Order: sequence, then structure tokens, then C-alpha cells
Amino acid sequence: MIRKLFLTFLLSTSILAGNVPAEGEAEVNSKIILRHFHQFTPKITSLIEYNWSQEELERKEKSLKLGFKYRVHNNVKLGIFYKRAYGLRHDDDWVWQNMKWLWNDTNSRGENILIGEAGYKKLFGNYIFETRLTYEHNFFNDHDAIKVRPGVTYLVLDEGAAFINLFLNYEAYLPLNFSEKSIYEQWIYAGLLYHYSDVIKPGVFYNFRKGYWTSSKDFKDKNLGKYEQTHSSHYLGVSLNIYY
Amino acid sequence: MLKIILMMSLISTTSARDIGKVIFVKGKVTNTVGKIKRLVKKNFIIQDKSTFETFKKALVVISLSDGSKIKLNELSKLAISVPKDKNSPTKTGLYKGSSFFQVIKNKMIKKDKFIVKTRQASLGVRGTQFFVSYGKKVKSKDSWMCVNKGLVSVKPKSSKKEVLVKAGEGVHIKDKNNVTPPKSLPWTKNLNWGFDRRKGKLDNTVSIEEAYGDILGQDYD
Repeated sequence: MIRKLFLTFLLSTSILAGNVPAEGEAEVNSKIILRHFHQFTPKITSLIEYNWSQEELERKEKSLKLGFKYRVHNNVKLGIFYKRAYGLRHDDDWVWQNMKWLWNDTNSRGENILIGEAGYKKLFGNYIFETRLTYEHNFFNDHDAIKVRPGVTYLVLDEGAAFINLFLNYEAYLPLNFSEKSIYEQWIYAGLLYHYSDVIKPGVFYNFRKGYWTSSKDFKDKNLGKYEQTHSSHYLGVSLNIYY
Repeated sequence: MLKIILMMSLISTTSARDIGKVIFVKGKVTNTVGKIKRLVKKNFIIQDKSTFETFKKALVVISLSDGSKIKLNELSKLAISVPKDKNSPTKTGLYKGSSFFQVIKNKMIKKDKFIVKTRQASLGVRGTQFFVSYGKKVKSKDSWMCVNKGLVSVKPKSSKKEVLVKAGEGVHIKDKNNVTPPKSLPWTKNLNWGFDRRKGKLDNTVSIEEAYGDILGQDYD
């Protein structure tokens, strides 16, 4: 009798434990972006970018990106960057550990990412329309992805020079060799950049992120089938661009 | 009868006063006096109240009797009038395109010796080297002016405000009422200020688009 009760209890707890990531409601997280630009020649600019964001519970994403942009044409720039990131979360971070399903703690896990990008800009009056294509290779898990980002910036001018930028971008992450989704993450970036001076340009922004968790390696190895869970977050952040 | 014809031709040539000559020309350039339009060649004698027009890839350098020089860039149109009275200012009107001006100072004239008028403003000059251009649109409402040497006063047509622009500075004349404060304009640093072909090429390769083009060059992320 006691044995039957115990087995029933075990069965019910394993069902209730949740062997797939929880969907949950969209959270509001904070984010900081710091950028330094240096123009070596009229065509070559370097970029150092530090990103920090508070994610769900105790997870924090932070990264440092270094690289160069080259202006091949008045409207076209190519870029190449190296990024070192911490706190990133991937599908395979959903693991079976200590008799339960949980997310890996990745806060101290560094990942190296190679980035190549091409951007096209066109000016119509006070509007800049831009489309940017980015390729990323993550050396940690050999994931390759393409990001497509169309967007528009409206320039508020003062005496012929930009005074405030209002921007709105959409970005889609297209996985090339991972995930079960054709678009595994989507972003909306909206914000304002204030041209305080030629050197200092602070900004505020709102981001919305929507992604999909699909079956992790551990989940597949246990032959538990498949899952697809959405996750979303809002971000409110501040940025600071330095040109020196 | 022949005497009358000769007398009439003499009167017509003396009434059209010569004010200078063309010292360099490239491409198709025309000169119009009244209803008569002629193609311009080197050493072409310029008559008072004439209008020059340059076509695509054309260039003309003019030397005026008051000592001034004008380099008119392609796709531009400029009217010139030099008064008989040497103490009165030479007047020009830039209808489209862009032009370089080199004005020799006249110690006898206390006021402006040379005046350039555009659709938006009047520019007064005493002795200087400066550049004027309409904006990037064909019928642009704005224009730009920068000074290489000397001093230029800028007065928008519908404004009482006068702005003095020094060497190394430029202004954006937004319309008939507004002109920006003078400041250094990075895109003007590569303008070709040459007027003498013997000292080098005269073509200006800086496009007015570059006045606006800084915007596309700027990175934000």
C-alpha cells in the first residue's frame, strides 16, 4: 500500500516538475549599451561596444564587441567584429540535472563570436532607411546565424546638423544550423539618441525580444519528443556613444 | 548709306561695354547678352550685363576689369554687371549651381566692392576668396557659402540680420529668412580654390551632396 502511494507520488511530481521550459509572461528588464567610435580615415571606423542586460531571475547577459567598419560606397558599409559574451542562453542549456530539468547557469561562461556585417543606408529628406545583414558564428557551439535588420531613423536637424535621432528597427535571427524554427528570435529596437556634442551622444531605448526554445539535446536524448516554447522580454535601457 | 551702317555698328559696339575676358574654358559654355547667345572660347571678351551658363562637365574662369576673377562650375548660371563708376560695386547674380569668387580689395571703396546675389541672400565682399553653391536639389531653397580668405557679409533677403563670415568658416543659408551661424564646414576643406590653370587643375571635385553626406557617414551602432 505504502509502496503504491509512493510510486503515485513520484509519478505526479515528475509530471508537475515541468520537463519543458516555462513560457511565462514577458518581463521588463534593464539594459545598458556603451559604444566608442574612432574614425581612422574617412572610410575606416573602429567600434568598441559593451552590452549589459538583466535577464530573467539571476541571469545577466554581457558582451564586449570589437571591430571595424569600412565604407566601400557612400551608402554601403562592411563590418567585421569579434565578440566575447557571457550569460547567453541556448536551446541546449535546458538540461536534466540533479533529478530535475533546469536552465544551465551561464553567467560565467564565456563565448567567442565572429561577426560579419553589411549595411546599406539611403537618405530621403530627414529619413535614413537602412538594411543590415549580419552573419554570426559562435565558436562555443558552432552555431551559425544570419540576422536581417531593416529600419528607419528620423533626424531632427538643427542648423543643418543632426540634433536628435529617432530610430525604429526590426531584426530577425535566422538560424542556419540549429533550432527547429526558421526564425528563432525577433527584436524591435526603438529609441532616441541625443547629439549632445560631436563627441558625446547619449540615448534611451526600448527593446522587445521574442524567441523560441526548441528541444534541447538532453531532452532529445531522453526520447521525450519535441517542444516549442515562446519567450519574450521587454527592455528599457540607456546608451552612450563616444566619438573620439 | 554705307556710312549710316558703319555708324550704327560703331554705336552698337561702344554701347555694349567690355568688362573682362574669359581666361579659361572647358566644355560647353554660353554667354548671353540681351537676346544674343554665343558659345564661349578662351579670350572671349565679356560685355556688361551678360550671363554665363555652363553645361555638364564644363568650367569657365573669367577675369573682370575690376581685378576680380570668377570660376563658374558645371551646370551653373551667373549674371555679371560691372559699373562704369569704379567706386560702385560689381554685381553678380548666381541663378543655379556653384561658383568661386576672388575679389581684389579696393582701398578707395569703404563699402562692399563686390556683391553676389542668390535666391536667398545677398553677399557683400570687400576683398576675399569665397565659394557659393545652391543646395543639392535642382530648385533648392537653400544655399551654402564658405570663405577661404577675407571677410564676407551675408544678408538673407527677407531678414535685416547680417552675418559676417571669416576665412575658414561657412554658412548654410536655409531660406530667405535664415542663415546659420558661421562655423567650420568639414566638407569645404577639399574645395579647389585655383583660378590659374598654369598652377594646377581647376576642376572642383567636391560635390554639394557632401554638405549633407556627413549624415550617412556617421555611425550610431
